[in-house]
Amino acid sequence: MEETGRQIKCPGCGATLEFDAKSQKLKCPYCDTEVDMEAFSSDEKKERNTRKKSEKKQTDQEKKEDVRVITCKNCGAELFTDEYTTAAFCSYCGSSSLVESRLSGELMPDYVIPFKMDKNQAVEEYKKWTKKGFLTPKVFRSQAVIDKISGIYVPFWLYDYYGKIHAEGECVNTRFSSDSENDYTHRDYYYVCRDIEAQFVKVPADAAEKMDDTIMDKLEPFDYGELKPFQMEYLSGFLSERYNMEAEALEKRIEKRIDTYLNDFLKEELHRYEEKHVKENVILEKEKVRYVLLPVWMLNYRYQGKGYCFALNGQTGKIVGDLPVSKGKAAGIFVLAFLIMYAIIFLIGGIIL
Amino acid sequence: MRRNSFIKKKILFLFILVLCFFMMTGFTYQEDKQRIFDNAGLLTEEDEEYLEDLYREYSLKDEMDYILLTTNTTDGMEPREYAKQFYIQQGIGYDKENGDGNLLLIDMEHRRAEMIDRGICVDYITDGEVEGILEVVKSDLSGGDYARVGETYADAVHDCFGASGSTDGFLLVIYGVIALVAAGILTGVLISGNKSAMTADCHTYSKKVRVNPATRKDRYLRTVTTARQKPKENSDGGGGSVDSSGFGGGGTDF
Repeated sequence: MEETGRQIKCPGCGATLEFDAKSQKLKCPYCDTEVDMEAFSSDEKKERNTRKKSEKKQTDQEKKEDVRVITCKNCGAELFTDEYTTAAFCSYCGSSSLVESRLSGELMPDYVIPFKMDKNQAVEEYKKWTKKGFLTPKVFRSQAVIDKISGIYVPFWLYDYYGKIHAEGECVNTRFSSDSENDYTHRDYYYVCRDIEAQFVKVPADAAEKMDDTIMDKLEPFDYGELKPFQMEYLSGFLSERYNMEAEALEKRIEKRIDTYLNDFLKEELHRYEEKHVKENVILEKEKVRYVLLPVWMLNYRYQGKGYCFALNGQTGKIVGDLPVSKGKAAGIFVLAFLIMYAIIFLIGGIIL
Repeated sequence: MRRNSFIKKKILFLFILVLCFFMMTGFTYQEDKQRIFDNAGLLTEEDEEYLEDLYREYSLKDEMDYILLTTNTTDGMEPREYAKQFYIQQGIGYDKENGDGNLLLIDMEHRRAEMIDRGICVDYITDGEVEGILEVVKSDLSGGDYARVGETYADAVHDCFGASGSTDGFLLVIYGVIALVAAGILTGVLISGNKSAMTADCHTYSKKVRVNPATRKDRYLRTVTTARQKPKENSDGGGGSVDSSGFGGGGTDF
């Protein structure tokens, strides 16, 4: 199935408009014309209203029509995409193409946090971060590596849950005393009971299977105050994907997380007790799920046969990723430290003994 | 700029390496005292040299003078007196004249071996240990092995210092282990600095967290007390006995 990629045209010169993080408007990379997001909002608003009325509309036919080839509206070239791509760049003319069929109807996201950091800022943050790592190999700071950073909207499910934890049991504190004859250990036992309840709002789980969950988790938190109702135009100038994991499939992961949070609240509540022997019972109720796109600057790199992935929160700028450790540097530091420590200990030992 | 700092690091590294080397070989100055007095001519020159080195080594390690004295005559004195006289006249003592030290006299005239010690040696060598040392000396001397007895004696005395002094090799290994662990911790901390951490916690997404006051309970139940007797101090009889002139030790015929 072929589809012509949707492109946002500049009213001034006809080139493709791209979303500019600095001004939070659509901007033309050639003639610098700026256009407000509001100018394009009517389409999606209509769709959202109709969708609310009839929830499950995606028919079998729609599912079958899996678009794999997008035609660039600007130059006519054919772009091959995977089945989940929703925004891509034409490899020939470089203009941004949006896959409309994957962003409408059932697949239309509820919200999006637009990019707040542009590419230059992302590159700056990345540079700063590689300098911080003491044991990082030098090659990671090279320009060739840095240029590979790409901005991508990652699909997420945001869950609202009500949670309750009931805990009951014994807790023990220990204190000590002594007299001339003996040392005493006193263990004080208490009966303890707690019921804690909480609302959990917009707990995220990334909905793209190929994205590393651990890295996506560490990018949190996003500032949801800047969630905007979805408009396709935000995606212009960036890569984007639709979800390929259903909200139900990720429930287990989210529930495990919320269970942990409730246990953390319990720990805080009972922190005055040293030993806790309580039984816990957790009840969770799912209240709402939303489909959103969140901005991430990503960099994938291979070093000595291992793949490394660095991600930058496109809104807050938090960097996540494990900087590789240069084995040479680590070994060198270890040996140097060992010799210095040995010399110091030897001197001290000689003086004391 | 970068290359300069790299070279500096290398030099510092080498310097520390050299420093360590010196520490280990122990570059304190050697005392050029004579410790072997073979007046009876029982030892060959090689034996004497060997024993001088050995006695010097032990003297420095244990911080007291090891002395070996052989004689064919005691000039009419009791062997023990002779030994004491020698000790005092020669001004034997590690820290001062007539100070810490031990001496073995091999008297060929009376066929008697006398061991005397003074100062801290008396504290470290118990009467039982003196007996043990003399046993060993006796068996060597009875066999006529005068060269060996010098070494056997010194080893036996040095062993008494083993518990508190430096059992050298073992201690170095302990140092090595501590240094390894410390270096490992430092490297580990630097490596973990290259990793990212999770920011979101239980408070990030939660609202209206509420502990139900109606069901909240903290009720004291009981206290379980266990007692443990304080350990009694052991009175260990340490150190040897000393005679009126301030010398310890003993003697044996051979």
